[in-house]
Amino acid sequence: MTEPILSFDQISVRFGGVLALDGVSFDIARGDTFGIIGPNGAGKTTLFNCISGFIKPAAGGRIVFNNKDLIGRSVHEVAKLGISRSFQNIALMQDQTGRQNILTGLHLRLAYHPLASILPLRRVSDAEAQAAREIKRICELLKISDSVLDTRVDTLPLGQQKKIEVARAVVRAPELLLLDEPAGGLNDRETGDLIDSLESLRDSSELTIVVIDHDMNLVMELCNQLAVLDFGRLIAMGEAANVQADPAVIAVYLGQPDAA
Amino acid sequence: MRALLHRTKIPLSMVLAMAGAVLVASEANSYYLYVINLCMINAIAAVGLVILSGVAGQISLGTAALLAIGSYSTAIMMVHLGLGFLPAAVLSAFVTTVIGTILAGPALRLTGLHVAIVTLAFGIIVVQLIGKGGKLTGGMSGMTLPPVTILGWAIDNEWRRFIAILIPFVLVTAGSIRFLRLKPGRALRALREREVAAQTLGINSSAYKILAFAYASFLGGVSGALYAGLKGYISVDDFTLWNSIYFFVMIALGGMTSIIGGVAGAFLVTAAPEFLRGFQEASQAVFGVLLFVIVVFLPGGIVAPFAGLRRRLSTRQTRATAPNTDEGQSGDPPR
Repeated sequence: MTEPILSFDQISVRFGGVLALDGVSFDIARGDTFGIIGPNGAGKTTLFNCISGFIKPAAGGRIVFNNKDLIGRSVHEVAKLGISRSFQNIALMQDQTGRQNILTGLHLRLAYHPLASILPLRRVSDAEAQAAREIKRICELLKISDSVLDTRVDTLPLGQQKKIEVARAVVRAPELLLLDEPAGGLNDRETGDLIDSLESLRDSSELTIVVIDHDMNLVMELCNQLAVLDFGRLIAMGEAANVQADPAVIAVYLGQPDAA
Repeated sequence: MRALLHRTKIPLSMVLAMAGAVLVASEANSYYLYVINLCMINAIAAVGLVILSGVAGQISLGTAALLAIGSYSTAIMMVHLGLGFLPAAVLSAFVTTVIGTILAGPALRLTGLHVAIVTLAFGIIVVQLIGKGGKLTGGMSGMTLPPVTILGWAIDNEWRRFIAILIPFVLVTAGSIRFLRLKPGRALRALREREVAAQTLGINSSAYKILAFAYASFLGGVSGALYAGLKGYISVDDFTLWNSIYFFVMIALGGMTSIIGGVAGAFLVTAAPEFLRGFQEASQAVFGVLLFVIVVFLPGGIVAPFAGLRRRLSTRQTRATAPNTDEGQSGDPPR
């Protein structure tokens, strides 16, 4: 196995009396599409929040991304290292168009100083023109149409909003993408459409994707590797097909794969 | 021309308004010219407040204090250090920026109304310090400035003052429109609406809030320096809490998040006493009613109808109906 892009070492998080994560350790290999599944409250989103820098795990734990320790870094610093994410509940700027939202995702790629924007400088207009091309590229890849792009997101169907959020997260070409329940609240047709988009994203780049979802369809179609969390513990991990057949996992899910 | 406007991201409407202002100014008597000058000076500070309070969401009741610092440092440098108006004004703008940016410190730890109270306290402290400033600030009796010359050009009538104020006014307005349309404006809007998500896009929340304070402070300083130059005499009565509130009224009338709106609001509020002079003692009451009507019927400010019109003209109708959006609105991002 090649050098992992992300590794967790003894990650524990306690919220009051509840142990949300309990000594979780595993690695994610570069280029994998990695699913993390588990019942509600298993600690999946908490794990994402530890990576992003919103939650600081208990002392002794380490999260290493590309040989750099993540714990202790602020959220925007983690982003700058090349980690991007989406949210369980859509976190788009609702009164803006899709294009404006995705442009905001290019913040780190626009290298000019914020005050340079005041002057009609060449490097500012060049950077903004480049940004417009990046948006075109990512929207072609994720199959987001121009009319959707120029509509206020609060008037778009949920499925389109989810795609715009993914576009906003990946437009700056991060190395690692964290997707928190991308199919949450979507109907079957929208989920299928989103899977299509995510597959073309996965196949077009070196991007490593980590997906949390209850929707087993999405996870099984998209992911080659799987980890299962239950009550804050890692109970199984490995090739997706093997993990799905694991008796311990079946016990936790108790027929849930079909219900999803 | 069109290409130049497009490249510099300056709206045509602004150029037309500017041309109109010059035209009106050329016909105006010196009193009206004085009012227009005051409008532009207030508009500069209002633009700063649009960015700080409207866009960055940091409610500031300290605008008058920033103006006071800009005015008084200009006056002090001219009277006590013998500096010319231009160097004094430029240095004052930087002094105001430094002092105003210190406010970002407590504001980073606080939210909403508490930020407003900190800036309010700042306003009280500044005015008190100036009032107790003895010979340096002239205390409660104010300061008189020496005659203003800029690069050897005596600014000794309203028309020349108009030119001297128009230039920074145009630069500030055009620069700020670009500032809001490009990266920093997008970052500030994202932070106000979705701070959590914005940070995961790499936007440094503290750095941008500090930038917003610095920006508004700089413009407050510029505005104050020009005010001192225009009036020739300043006193603490020019920089009360009422003045700060009026700046807030300006941007609220204009539309909070729009530079053009802030400018329009500043012109309206500053010139209102002149328009309403015909109502004599009822003029204050008429102004109150006017405010009431605008805020109730145009909660998006006086620019809102124009923005709506432009949207309707420029974007085609989308077929996207929204059967599922209810679910999407159900929650905020974690924390």
